[in-house]
Amino acid sequence: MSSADRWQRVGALFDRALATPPPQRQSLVRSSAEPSDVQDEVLELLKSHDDSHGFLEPPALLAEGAEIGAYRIERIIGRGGMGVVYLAEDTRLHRRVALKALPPHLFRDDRMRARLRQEARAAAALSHPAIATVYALEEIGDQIFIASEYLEGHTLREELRAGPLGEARALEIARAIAVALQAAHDRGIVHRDLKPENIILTGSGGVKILDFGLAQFDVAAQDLASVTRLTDPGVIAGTPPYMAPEQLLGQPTSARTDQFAFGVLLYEMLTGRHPFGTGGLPTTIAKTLAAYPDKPEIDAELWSIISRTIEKNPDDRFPSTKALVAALAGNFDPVKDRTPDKNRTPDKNHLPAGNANDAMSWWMIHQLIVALAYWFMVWPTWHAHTWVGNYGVLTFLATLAIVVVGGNVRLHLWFTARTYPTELPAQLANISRLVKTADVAFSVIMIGIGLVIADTHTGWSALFVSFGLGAALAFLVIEPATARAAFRSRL
Amino acid sequence: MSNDPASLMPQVYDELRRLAANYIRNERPGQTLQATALVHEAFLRLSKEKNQPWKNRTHFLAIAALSMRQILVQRARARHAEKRGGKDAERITLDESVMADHTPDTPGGVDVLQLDAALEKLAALDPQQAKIVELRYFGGLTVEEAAEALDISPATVKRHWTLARAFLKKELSPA
Repeated sequence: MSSADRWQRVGALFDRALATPPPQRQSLVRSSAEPSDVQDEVLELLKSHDDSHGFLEPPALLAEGAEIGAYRIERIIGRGGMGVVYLAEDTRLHRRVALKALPPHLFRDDRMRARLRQEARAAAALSHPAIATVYALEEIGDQIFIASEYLEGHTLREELRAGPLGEARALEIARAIAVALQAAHDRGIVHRDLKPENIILTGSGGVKILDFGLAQFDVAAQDLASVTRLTDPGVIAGTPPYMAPEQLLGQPTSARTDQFAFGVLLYEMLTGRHPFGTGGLPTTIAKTLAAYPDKPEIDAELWSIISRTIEKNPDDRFPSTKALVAALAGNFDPVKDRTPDKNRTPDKNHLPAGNANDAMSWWMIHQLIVALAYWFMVWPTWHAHTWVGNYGVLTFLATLAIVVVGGNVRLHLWFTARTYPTELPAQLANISRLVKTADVAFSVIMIGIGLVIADTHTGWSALFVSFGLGAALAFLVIEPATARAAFRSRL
Repeated sequence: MSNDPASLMPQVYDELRRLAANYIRNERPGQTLQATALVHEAFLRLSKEKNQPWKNRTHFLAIAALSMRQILVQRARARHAEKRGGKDAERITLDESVMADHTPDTPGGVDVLQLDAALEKLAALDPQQAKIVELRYFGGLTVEEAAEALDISPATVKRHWTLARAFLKKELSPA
C-alpha cells in the first residue's frame, strides 16, 4: 500500500469518525476494519483536530446564538473583504438590527477600525428615509461594529440579474437614490462606493442606500470637523466598475464622483448592461477613463441626463446634485425616440465613430510630427551654438535634454496609442505634465536663440523663431484640440 | 497562453514582493501587513495591466497564494541565516505568520519554515489538500473561493481542510 493510498484510507476513517458524536469516535475507529497503524494515526489526528480550533485560520466569526454586548447573533447576512454583516437582536430594545463588523483578520487594523467609525459617523450624520439609519457604534473588547436598521428586502444587484428594470421602475429607484444623495451631499458627505450591491429595495417599496464605508467628508461641513480623511491622496478606493475617472486616477473626489456612479447605475437599470462593461475589468477601467457608450434605446432626454452624469471631467457633469434631481423630475416618454437619433445634430461631446477614429489618427500624427520636429532642431542648435555667446554649449545641452525627453515621451505615446490603446489613458495621466514642460522649454529656447542671433544670422534666426512659434502654437492650440477630439472617441 | 500558474507567476510574484517591500519601508505604527490585504492590492494594481494572463479573480488569487508562500518562506530563510550569522535579527514588520498571528491559539504565530516543510510532506500524501492550505492560509481565500479555484465542491474543500489542518497541527506540535 503506497503512502498516498494509505493516507486516503486515513482520511476516509477520519471523516467517518468526525461525523459521529465525539464520545463514540474512539470506539468507531477501533472497531473499523483498518489496520491498527491506520487506526492509531486517525486517533492522533482526531486529537490534533480537537486542538486545532483556530489553527491557521482567523478566529471563528460570531456563531449563531453568540452574545456580544447586548446583541444576540442570529446569522450572517453578508460578507465581504471589508466587513461581515450579522443579523442580530438587540436584547435591550427587542428589535432586530444589522451589525456590521470587521472581518476577524482586520480586528487589529487601526486604519480599518477608524474607517468603520467614520462610516458610522457619516451615516449617523444623515437622517433620510432613503439612507439606512445607524443606531450605535459599539466597541466591545477586540470588536468594533455598527448597529443599524435591519432592512428586509433585496439588493438592486439581485433585481438586475433578471435583466433591465423597465423605465418606470428604473426612474422610481433612480429618483429615490438621487434625492438621498442630495441629502448626503448637502451635509458635505460623498458616498464614493455607490453600486447595485449597496442599494436595498425593501419589501415595502422603499429604496435605501447602504455602506458609507468609503464616505468622504467635506471637512468644512458643519459639525463634522473631527473626522479625518482615511484614504491618502492617490490611494484608490472604491469598486472599479462604478468608480469615476477621477477616482480611478487617484485624483480628488467630490459630490460629482457620486454622479458618475449614479449614471452608471441608471444606465444599467435601463439596459440591463454596464455602459463600460464588456471585456473584463481592465477593459472596463480603460473605457471608464476614455470611452463613451453609444446611446441605448431609451428616451433621448433621459439619455442626455445619463451621458452628462458619466462625463469624464467632473466639471462637465451636473453642477450640483440638486440640478440632477431637478433634471430627473421631468416626464420621460418611454415610446418616443426609441431609434438611435440619426437626425439629431451631433452633440459636440459625442462624435460619431468615423470621426473618432480619424481624430485618434490625427492625434497620433501630431505626436509623431512634434517628436520629429524636436529631433530635427538638434543639428541647427549645435550649428548655432557658437553664435549665441558664452552659454552656447549650455543652450545646446539644454535643448538636447529637452529633445531627448520631450521627443521620446511623444514617441512613447505614439507607440502606446498604436500598440496598447487601452494603456494610453494611464500613460497620459502620468506624463502629460512632462510633455507640456518640455514643450514650453523648447519654445522658449528656440525663440531665445532666434532673437539673440537675429542681427548676425538672420536666415537662421528665422528658422529658430518659426520652430519656436510653431511649437508654441502646437502645444497651445493644436494639441489640445486633437487630444480633445481623440479622447472623446471610443477605444 | 498557458494556464499553468508557474508561467503567470513572475509578474504577480514581483508585484507582491514590491508591495511587501514598500510596506516595510513605509511602516506606520499600528499597521500590520496582512497577506490578504497585500494580495488584494496586488490584484487591484495588476488588473489594470493589459493582457493579464489569469482568467478571473479566483485564478489570480491562486497564483498570488503560491507567490505569497514563496515570498514568506524566502524572507524567513533569510532571517534565519542572519540570526545564525550573529547579527541582530532585523525587525520584521511583515507579519510573517499572516493570519495566524491573530488567533488566540497561536499567539506567536506559526513558523513559516516548519509549516512549509510540513506542507511538502502533506503534498506527497495528497497534493490537493496541500494546495487548499496554501490557498486558504497564504492567499486568504475563503472555502468557497478555494472551491472555485480548484473546481471542486465547497464541501470537499471543507473536508480536506479539516484533515489537512489536523495533520499540520500534529506535525507542528512539539513531540
